[in-house]
Amino acid sequence: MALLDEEFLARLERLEIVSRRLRRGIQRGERRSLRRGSSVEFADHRPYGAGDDLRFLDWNMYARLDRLMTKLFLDEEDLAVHLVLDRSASMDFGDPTKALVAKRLLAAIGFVALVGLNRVSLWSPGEGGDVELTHLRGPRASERLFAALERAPVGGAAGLDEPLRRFVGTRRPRGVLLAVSDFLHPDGSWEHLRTLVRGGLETYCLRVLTPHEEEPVIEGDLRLLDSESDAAVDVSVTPALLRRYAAAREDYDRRLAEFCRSRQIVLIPTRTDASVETLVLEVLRRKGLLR
Amino acid sequence: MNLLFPLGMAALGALVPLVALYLLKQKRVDTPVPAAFLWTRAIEDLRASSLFQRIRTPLLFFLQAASIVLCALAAAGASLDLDIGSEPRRVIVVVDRSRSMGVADETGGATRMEVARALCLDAVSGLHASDEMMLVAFDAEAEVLVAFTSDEELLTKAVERLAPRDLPSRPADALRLAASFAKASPGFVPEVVVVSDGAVTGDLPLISCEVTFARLGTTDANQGIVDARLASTPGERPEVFVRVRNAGKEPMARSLVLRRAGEIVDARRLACDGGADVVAFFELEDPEGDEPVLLDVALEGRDALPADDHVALVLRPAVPRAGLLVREQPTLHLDAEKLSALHPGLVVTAVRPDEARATFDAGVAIDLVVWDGVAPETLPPVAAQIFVGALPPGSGLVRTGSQEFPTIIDWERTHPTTARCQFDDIVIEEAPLLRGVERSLALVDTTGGPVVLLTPVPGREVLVVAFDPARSNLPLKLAWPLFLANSLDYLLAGVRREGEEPVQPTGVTLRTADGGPFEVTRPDGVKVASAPAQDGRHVVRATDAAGVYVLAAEGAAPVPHALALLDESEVAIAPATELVLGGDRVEASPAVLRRNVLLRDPLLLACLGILLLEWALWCSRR
Repeated sequence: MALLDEEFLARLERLEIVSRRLRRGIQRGERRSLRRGSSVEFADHRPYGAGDDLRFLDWNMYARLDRLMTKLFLDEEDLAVHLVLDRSASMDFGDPTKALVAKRLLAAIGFVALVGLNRVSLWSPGEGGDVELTHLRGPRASERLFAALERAPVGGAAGLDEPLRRFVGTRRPRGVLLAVSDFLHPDGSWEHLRTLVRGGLETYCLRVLTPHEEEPVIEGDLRLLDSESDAAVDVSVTPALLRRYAAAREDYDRRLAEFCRSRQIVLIPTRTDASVETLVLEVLRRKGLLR
Repeated sequence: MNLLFPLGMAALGALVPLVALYLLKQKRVDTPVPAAFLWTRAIEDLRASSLFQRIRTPLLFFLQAASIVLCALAAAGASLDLDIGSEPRRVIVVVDRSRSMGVADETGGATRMEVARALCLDAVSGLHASDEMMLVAFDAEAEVLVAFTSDEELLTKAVERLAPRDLPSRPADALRLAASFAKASPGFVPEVVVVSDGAVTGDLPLISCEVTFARLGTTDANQGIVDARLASTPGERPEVFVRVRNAGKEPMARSLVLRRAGEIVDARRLACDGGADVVAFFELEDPEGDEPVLLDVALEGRDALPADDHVALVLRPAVPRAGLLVREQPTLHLDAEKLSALHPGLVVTAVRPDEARATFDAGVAIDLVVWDGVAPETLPPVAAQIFVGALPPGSGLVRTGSQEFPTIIDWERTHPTTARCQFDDIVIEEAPLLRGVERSLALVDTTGGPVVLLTPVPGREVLVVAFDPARSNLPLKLAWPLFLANSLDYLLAGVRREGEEPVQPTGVTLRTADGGPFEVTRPDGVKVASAPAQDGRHVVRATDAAGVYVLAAEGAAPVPHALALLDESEVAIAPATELVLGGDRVEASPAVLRRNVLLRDPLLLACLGILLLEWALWCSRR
């Protein structure tokens, strides 16, 4: 089953990634660059110098001012878009699973970025080794992206915490980073996200939860097994316990939202039962990632 | 506990699925979750807010199991099996019918005897066809009302005839009787049920039966007359002595009224603390004429047991006492006429020993014998006897030698016989040395041992002057006639001839002197005619009611006899908590004779209560 259908891809082709900041790219792209380049968008003038391309002389100004001036145009460069996928065991819950929703989201964002001739990379630590694609460019590279996402296994206890520190430390990425995860950390620490902000990345965190994580539908005497650790909790599910759980989850969500807001990280919560199309076409555009 | 429908216990099978469910429930279902730490926080909060969270699950299980067990017992017809068993039984019911059983302190104002009857009737109606019951009643003595039988009609009639009598409670004989009947029941495990208030007298024997004590009674508040005496010495005004006991715990303040022939003569206000006695004396005028006078001493007011608040006494005209002075030869220190003069109403005749023996053999009523220098071979049946210069046979006193001029070192100055007597200037030329004086009361003691003693002999006590007064200066002293007069008063005060007693205990046998047509009027006014027995005398044995019995022979003046139960244990009506049979203690168990009590309703109520408790616990978890 394909991650994205043709109709949705056709709609995605009309979108582009929006960066809140102009960034220096590597190759020519469709995005304005801090460097002057050869695009049609005028930027400024400067006195003509030996060796300048005569085609960029402003003859009208020479006629009026009798001075040779060379026209400068904004260069259009590519944007680095980093896609990070959490495929730990906790993502393998829900119907559809959180991992599948995350893959579809990343595929859609990646496709938009590739169509916009942006430089796309995919990185996903986890079971079976890191899944990594770099320097994807152009719409034709979307096939590789989609295939890699589809093949990425889900499971294991590896979260994003330490791998993300390592990723930022070694790659020193620039551009836009989109991480999709459930952001469930037992100690409630999200310091690894702080490294993304320090690196100058424009970070978007898509948090995917299942409806049952928000409103558990369990009853009786259970032994709850943590999917990523050996922890087990014996519970007798009662309305009182469910109320306590809801209060604990809301407290956790509140602290996560405060953490992200204070560090200019855009946190976008969603659920697996929400439509990916709606999320991409409406929510992400509203959040300013796409337009 | 008995199960009338044992198949109902099959309901216990419900425990199997319950236990299975519990075990399955305890084997929790493993449920993977993305992250468990939020649940950990939630459950920690919940445990912190609920103290008994950990024990709730097993507690609910136990409550459910208990409710199933109770339901099964109810379905099985569980009942308290107190007198019905699957095996034939022999039950001996020993019922107290003493006076304290007439106390009306049971529920609804019923007497203890009424409750005892109800218990017995209940037990009778609960007998199986193969069961047998025996009914024994006791007061001062035991009586088998009905031997072992399963005839309910016979037993019912015997039970309905039970009534309290003015007699003390002595269950020892009844228990021995029950034990002997129980032993004579091979193949049975005998059961003895004592129905009593426990206000009993005497030690109870240890019997080899299963004994149950069905206690009756609820109160101890009672006051009663426990002693009444009438002293009527010739020449002196009669005196009435009464002792009242407050058996309750609260202080008593009541009036004691003396009536003579129905009219109030005197009264005393008595007050004492709980558990104490109070004594009252009344001095009467000399009786006029030769007719006996009826006296009645009564505690005014009502208490739990009115029967012990009245005592009747008969004040009879003084009867001259007959005495013998037995001697070989006349002496200076003892003279029949002088002895007669020392005690009013006493006529002493001097006789020789053989004449005295003939008098005793002839059955002549003699009240006093003074043995002067001689002693009989056996003691005659005379109440008052004085031995002077001789030792009484059968007393244990043995002469081991003699002593010359013993010095008197002490004498009893408070004893009635030696009161106001001075013995310090008495010189005794010779006195015997005595052995076996340990049981005697030494009235006058010398350096060589006692010389004047009050010595017990079978049935009475005799006065002994061990030395010969003629060999001392005692007859020359004032102490001698004073001592003789004191001694005569002391010894004759307790002398009553048959029929002269002012009051006798209930249960005694009354006899008449003559034959002929005869009629007895009982205290309740019922007159019973009687014919003389073979010896020509009439005998009245049915004297179980306190009061005045009037024996009237044809052609003779009626003779009243006052009977009373002056028994301290019957005044103390407090129900006992146990019976002590030998060394065994039998705890009281009220209403032990009830028939099977079906426990269905209590069990179902308990089950409902448990379910409510479980529901409350379950709700508290929410």
